[in-house]
Amino acid sequence: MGRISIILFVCLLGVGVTFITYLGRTVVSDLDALSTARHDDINWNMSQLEIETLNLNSAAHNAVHGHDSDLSVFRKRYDIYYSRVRTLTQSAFYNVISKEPDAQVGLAAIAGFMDEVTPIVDGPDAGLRAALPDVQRRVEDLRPQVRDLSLAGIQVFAKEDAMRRAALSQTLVKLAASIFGLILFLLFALATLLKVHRRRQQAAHENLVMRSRFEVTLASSLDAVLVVDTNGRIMDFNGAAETVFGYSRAEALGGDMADMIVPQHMREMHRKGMARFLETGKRKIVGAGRVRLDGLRKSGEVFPVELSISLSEVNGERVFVSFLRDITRELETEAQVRAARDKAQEGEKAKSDLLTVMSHEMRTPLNGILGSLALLDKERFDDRQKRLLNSISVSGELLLSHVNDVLDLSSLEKDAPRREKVNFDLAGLLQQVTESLMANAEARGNRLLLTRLSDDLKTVTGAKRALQQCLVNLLGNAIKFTADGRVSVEAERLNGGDLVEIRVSDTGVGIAPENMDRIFDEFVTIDTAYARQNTGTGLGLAITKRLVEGMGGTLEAESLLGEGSLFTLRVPLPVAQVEPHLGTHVSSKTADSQSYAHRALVVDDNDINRMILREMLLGAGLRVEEAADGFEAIKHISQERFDIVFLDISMPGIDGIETLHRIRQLPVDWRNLPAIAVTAHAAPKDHNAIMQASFLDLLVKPVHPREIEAKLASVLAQDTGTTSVSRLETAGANFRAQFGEAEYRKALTTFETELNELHHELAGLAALTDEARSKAHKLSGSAAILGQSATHARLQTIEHCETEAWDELKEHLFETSGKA
Amino acid sequence: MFAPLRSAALVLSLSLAAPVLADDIVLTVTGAVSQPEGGDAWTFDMAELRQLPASSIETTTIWTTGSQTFEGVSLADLLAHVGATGSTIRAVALNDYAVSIPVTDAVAGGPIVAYTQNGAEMSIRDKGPLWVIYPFDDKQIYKSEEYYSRSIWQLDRIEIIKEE
Repeated sequence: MGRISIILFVCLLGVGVTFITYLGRTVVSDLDALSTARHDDINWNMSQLEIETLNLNSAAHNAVHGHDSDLSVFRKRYDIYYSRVRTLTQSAFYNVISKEPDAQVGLAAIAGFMDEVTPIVDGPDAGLRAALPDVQRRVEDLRPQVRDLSLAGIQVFAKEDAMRRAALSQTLVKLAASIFGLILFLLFALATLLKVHRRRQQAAHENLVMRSRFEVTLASSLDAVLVVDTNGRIMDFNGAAETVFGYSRAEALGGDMADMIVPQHMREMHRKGMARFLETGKRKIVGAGRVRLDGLRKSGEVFPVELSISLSEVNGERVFVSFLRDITRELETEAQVRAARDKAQEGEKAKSDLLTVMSHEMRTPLNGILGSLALLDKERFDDRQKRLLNSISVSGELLLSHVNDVLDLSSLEKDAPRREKVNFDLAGLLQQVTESLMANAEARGNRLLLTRLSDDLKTVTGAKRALQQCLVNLLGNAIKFTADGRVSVEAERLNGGDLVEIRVSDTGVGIAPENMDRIFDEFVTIDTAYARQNTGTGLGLAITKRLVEGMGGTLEAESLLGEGSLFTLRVPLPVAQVEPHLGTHVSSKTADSQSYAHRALVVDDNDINRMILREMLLGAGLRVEEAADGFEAIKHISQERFDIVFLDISMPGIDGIETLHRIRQLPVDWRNLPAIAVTAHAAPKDHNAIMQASFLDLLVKPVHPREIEAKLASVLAQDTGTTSVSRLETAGANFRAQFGEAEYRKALTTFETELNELHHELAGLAALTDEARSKAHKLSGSAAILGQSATHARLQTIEHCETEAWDELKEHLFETSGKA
Repeated sequence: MFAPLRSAALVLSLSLAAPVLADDIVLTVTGAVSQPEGGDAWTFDMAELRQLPASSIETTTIWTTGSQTFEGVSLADLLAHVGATGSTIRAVALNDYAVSIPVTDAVAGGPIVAYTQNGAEMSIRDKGPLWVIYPFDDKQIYKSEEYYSRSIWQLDRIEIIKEE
């Protein structure tokens, strides 16, 4: 209840009481007036006047008739009558009645009577006796008038009485109403007071409850709670604070907080902060949430605390409420956790390093094994030996793929080259991958089908290497888990957009539903009979999934156990705007063998590796020199011209990168010759370092003859100037590789027979006929296929020869052909 | 204290006029009173009343204008004089107006039987010769109908009634 309402209440009460007091007084005075009659009883006086008149009449009659001889009785009666009239005329009421017209007549009559009779009465007996009859008559006459006066007086009095009663009753009604009002008001006030009182009581109760709850909370808080005033005096100190700081509550209360719980080295800072806050109101720690500082125990021990301070107001005075927690344990635990984490990270790094080193160390001997195998002329072995060799080859390849898998997994995130976007022929890539796995598929009795459902799969932009690996992994898996069945690849551009969907399905063993969730996890080999038959690291799908996601695509799997599986791969591969890179076209089947004239230098400290590479290059038709280290290489190049150099990176003395750097400094024309790095370092970071140097390309050991040829084709094609010729020459090699030496010989024999026929025919011709031209054209095609470049050129000349130039050509032709 | 004076007055009255004339008698007291000398009732003429201890009252009345001085014998003295033993005074006026006055009214400082008004004797016309006057101004309670009715004028006789 506000102060204003209280004032209002008191005012209203005052007004009410005053009004009632006033009314009460009026009533009292009215009652007083009633009880203390201000004048005599008028009715009585009036009736008495009548009676006195009658008495006087009677006395007059008696006197006339001699009953009153000395007239004393009459005189006495007259005196009494006189007295009565005077009483009437002298009373206060007379003023009232004398104004009444009815009464005035009577009064006037009485006055007239008195005026005439009194002198007679007061006169001598004789005179009175003589006048008595007349007096009696006059009294007789007076009686009705007195009667009228009396009646008028009664009426007036009754009227006045009524008025007084009405006034009193009005006052009483007012008083009653006022008292009733006051009572109502008091009741209302009482009700209000009760309500206020009850509210106060409730508030007090709530306050008490809150207070006790707060106290319980404070007492049972696990955190130390301190309430400190702005002078730094401790105002409250809970149980936890006693435990933490070692002071009892009694000791702490009223103590200086800075002296008691702030360590020596922080005290100055604390006081400054406090002073600054009091001066400027700027807060640093107050209200800043959790802060870690040091605390001081009673024992003098300094320990770490976490605290939060908030500013509060108690009874208009500012206080700091601090919650503190001893975090010695937490910090210890934190340190332990951090140490454990660091240790784990170190272990992880060591593992990664180990993998990198292992890859190099394993790939080098594998290079030797697989390279040697590739160079073996298997025709010279018997069947048993071939089987053994094949077994070595398969095992070696498998070992290599395992090493690659592990390395892939550890290096996927960092493998920039694999995620590098290039323009490439998707259809070609699909074709190539399918063909490369055809043999594997057939070995397990599987048919391998490739279906392209869209036309615009030719030249696309994307991470070719990653996609290639995904396809190899998925197809490899499909083949591995299918026997005597069908594996199909379908590629389709979705809705003409960027997304290309590639579906790899098989009719193999399938995957049980409970395993579907795990197939993309790392090192998972589903425990089936087939899985045990088919060795693997269990990384293939995990790597594939990571690669697909790295390309911004998705990989989904569906399967029915015993029916087969379907892997759906969706990758954004937009149609490329420019022509695909030349190098991406090159496949083993179309690779051109190089001119025999090119000279290559192979630099490697490992004798076996050097020997293998040399053999491969020789096989590709190059002349080869060798160097065992960087210095030897530099010496070679500074003395002789080379067309290409193959540099091992890891070499004692100076490594491949430094060697190349020095080669570039040599004062020879061919110092900028193409350089190919050869390394067993499969880690991408190494690749990046290598490509930073001026290497043109990079080969990872173990090197395959096909890769060598591909590199040569892309590197040497640019500066030979004899591309067409060398290509035709390579065509012969291709023919042999494809159809065998016997077929080649056979075809060559046929070709030479036909060529001889044409030769004879032409020799006899004076002019070049269309038939002859046609035959020359046909043979030039055969020459191209069989790699007879010189013959091809001559046949082309014949075919396109002008008729008039024939004689000259004929003469030249047959002269030179004789030499051929 | 008044005893010698009363005796003196009695002696005087007896010596003055042996039989009091009926016309001169202004007040007769009868009823429960002591036996008066040589009669059935106590009778007083004006002189006899004046021999009784006099009391005066100055007061206003509703029948008069202005303050009046009345002198007379107090009712208490009168009752003592006549040896009244009753409880009620039956007072009757010349016109036979009658009223009962409880003897408890007859106290010192109470009503008197006035025989003068402002020093002059009162004629019958002036509500005389005797008028019972209460000291209206002294006590509020006297200003009421009850006491006004007891203020009998033209007092003629008194009967003391002994009520059981």
